[in-house]
Amino acid sequence: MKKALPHRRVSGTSLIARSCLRSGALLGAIVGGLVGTSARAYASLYPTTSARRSLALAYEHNTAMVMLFGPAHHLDTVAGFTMFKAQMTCAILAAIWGLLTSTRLLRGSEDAGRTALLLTGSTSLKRWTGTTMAMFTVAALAAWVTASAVATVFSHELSLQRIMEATTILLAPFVVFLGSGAVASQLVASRRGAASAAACTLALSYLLRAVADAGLGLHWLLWFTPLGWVEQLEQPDSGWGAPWIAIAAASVFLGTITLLLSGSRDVGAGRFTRRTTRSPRRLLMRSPLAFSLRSLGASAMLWGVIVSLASFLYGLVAKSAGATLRAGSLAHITGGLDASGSGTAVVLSLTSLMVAITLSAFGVSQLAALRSDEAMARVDLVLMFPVGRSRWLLGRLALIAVAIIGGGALAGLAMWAGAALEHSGVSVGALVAAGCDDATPALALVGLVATIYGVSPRHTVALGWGLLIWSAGLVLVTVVGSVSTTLLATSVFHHLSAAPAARVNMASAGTMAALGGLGILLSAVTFSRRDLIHH
Amino acid sequence: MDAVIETTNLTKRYGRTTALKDCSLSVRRGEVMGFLGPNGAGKSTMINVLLGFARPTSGVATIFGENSTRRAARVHRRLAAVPSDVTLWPNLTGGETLDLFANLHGAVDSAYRDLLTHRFELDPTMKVRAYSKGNRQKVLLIGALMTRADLLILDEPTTGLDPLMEQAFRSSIAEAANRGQTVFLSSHIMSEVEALCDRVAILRSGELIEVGALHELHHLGGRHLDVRFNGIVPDLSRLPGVANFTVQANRARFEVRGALHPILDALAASDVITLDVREPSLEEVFLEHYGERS
Ligand SMILES: Nc1ncnc2c1ncn2[C@@H]1O[C@H](COP(=O)(O)OP(=O)(O)OP(=O)(O)O)[C@@H](O)[C@H]1O
Ligand SMILES: [Mg+2]
Repeated sequence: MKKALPHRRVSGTSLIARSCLRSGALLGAIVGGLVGTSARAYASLYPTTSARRSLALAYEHNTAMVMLFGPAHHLDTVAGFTMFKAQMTCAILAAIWGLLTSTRLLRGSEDAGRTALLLTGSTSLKRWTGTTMAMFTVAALAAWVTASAVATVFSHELSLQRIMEATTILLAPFVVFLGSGAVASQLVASRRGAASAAACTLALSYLLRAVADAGLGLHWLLWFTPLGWVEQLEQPDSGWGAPWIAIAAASVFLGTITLLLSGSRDVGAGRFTRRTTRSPRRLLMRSPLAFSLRSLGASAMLWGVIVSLASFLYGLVAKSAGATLRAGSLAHITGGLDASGSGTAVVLSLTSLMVAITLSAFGVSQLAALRSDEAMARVDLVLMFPVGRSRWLLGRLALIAVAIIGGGALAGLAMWAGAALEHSGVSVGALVAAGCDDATPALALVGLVATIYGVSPRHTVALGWGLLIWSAGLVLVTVVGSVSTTLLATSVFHHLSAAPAARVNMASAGTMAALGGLGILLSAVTFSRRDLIHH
Repeated sequence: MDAVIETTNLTKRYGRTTALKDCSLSVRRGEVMGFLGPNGAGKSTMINVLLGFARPTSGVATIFGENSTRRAARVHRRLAAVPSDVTLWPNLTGGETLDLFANLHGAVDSAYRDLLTHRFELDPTMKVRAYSKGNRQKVLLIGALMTRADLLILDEPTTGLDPLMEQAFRSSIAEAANRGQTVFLSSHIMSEVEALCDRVAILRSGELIEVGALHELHHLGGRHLDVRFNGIVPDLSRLPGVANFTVQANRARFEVRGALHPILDALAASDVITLDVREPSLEEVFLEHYGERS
């Protein structure tokens, strides 16, 4: 017995090390790929000095672009362009990766009961947490090495030193959000809860830096957000010292807090352990539909708050951001969106695109939740009662659709409220219409993913997120570079009209909504004709 | 219409695995039928088909005369189930879960629900995430029993219950049987099946190898004989139907299948001090059947 324990502990540690290595290397490969391809694309898209200069002129002082994608410096150099193009995507990806990795390793294994198994040995929770966090350095190192290597392979335009600088900066959020996820894992007693809490800090971090970059004189806000520190690092002329100190201090601080918290709690518990008993709440339990609404409600509200808060903030800065847009830059920015009109309207239609992507992400996440309910055989618990299968699914999907449309309208209203405070002169009708229009690509995507769910539930999650990333990626790339129209047509967001800068294209909106409805119907039919599939 | 559950040549394949092969089974109104079989025999698959969760590859299953797949929602009005391997909602309390089940089912006997909650010693104000495994199982059990449905389909319902709760379960099933409810009970616990069931169906590798009344099945296994002799133990191992013949000093132990009279004749010729004959337990029958696998 005594002899078996150290062996078990070692294998647990090496399991975590391997997982960290894999996770870090994968992130590194993606970041390296993005950096490498951006550098290469720049060299081929803008081969001449004059082309590079005009690009720089168009973008560098464009507040809308800066708000969405971060500041642009030295766009007439390969390094400058690469950083501009890769920064926000990579920073957010690295941050999400970080918080998912740490919540998975720290809280996920606890949820699954593995930690309890490991702790039957002499290790304490605190020591175990410390070991796991030490392994995070393996993840960070693996990410950095892989990213630098992959970027080097992909591009010959950048020197190795430049590449290493770039990957160091772009991966800094990975480290900070590993820490943020670690703290959340100590506070919240479930993996999903911990990941959501950490994701909220990321969302806040992004919003803060967007506001700081809005040209409202709030630049100092950058010092209060990890993504802001990363931005400061990219300014070649400002000193590197302070932001790095902030990043290092935050990481050490988060690590220490994690250790302290883990030393004073039980395995499986959190700091905010909810009460285990309560008097019954019977709201929304009367029927299968009501119960579906109950399950959807909380997350729909959270997403609704996030999307309307973001829309409000973007509405608030739309006027000042739009004022800096020049006639020449419109074509670049709205190439994929086909917009004309005032700068304010263009900024609002870019915001509207973000709303559409967010609504789609909500839809996909709800379908993923549906799939997980089936995998855990929770669906069985409802369908073992006199509840019609297709009717039940139809109800649940219809609720998702309604939540998406409602979210779109809410986002439109919030955008208007923000814009109206700044007297931007955009009508409430136009923005609510734009918001509702934003729901249509999300509906089309939900229809498609729901059909996949109806036919082959095991593929719902991967294909759902894959389709979303594909669609969003294509359109976002058009904002910066160019993509062939045939390829672009496969993105649902390409068919979104650039409201309010352009009129809502009723035909295209109608088609997407109808496709969504059709997909939902198809899903209900196929679902009632297949086995329930667990695991 | 005497049969409550009726399956005809029911076959279910998952890719290359045949989980059920040509199963024809009938469960009569008011009986408690035990459904036995080793791990992976196809018990849960059968129950999933009956509940309409899985579609048969071929063959039909009817419950109350209606197709269990196509008319699932209709059939479910008259049955209640404890499926295996389900996950309850961790954020609901046990009581809320039972409220939900009651609403989904329609009418339930709420006085009986309270009685069951008391009998199974379940704290309904506790959240499911804080329940132990056995307590979660109790929620499912109470949820099925409180409906007083005409048919109960139970897939290993006593997983995780302690012996006291096992007793509570047995008395609840006995009550259900007394009220004329039909029970289809898949189980690994032989003593449970022996105590509760009128008939038993045994499944092996997807095939129904035995269906019959409990007392009929006992004869499948040999009777156990234990004989003490005054003096030398005669060699009975060659007599018809004798197996596992062992001798220890003046004592012989062996099993006999089929007729006993050749043995009794042989024993009459020797000096027997004591003779003990025992029927095989269901467990022995079961082990004997599945022992053949190796
Ligand atoms: N969804 C599925 N996909 C593939 N194979 C399956 C599936 N469900 C069951 N099987 C296979 O069918 C066979 C029967 O499984 P089943 O779960 O019905 O057994 P069981 O008798 O309930 O076993 P246990 O006593 O362990 O619960 C097994 O070989 C199993 O691997
Ligand atoms: Mg089973």
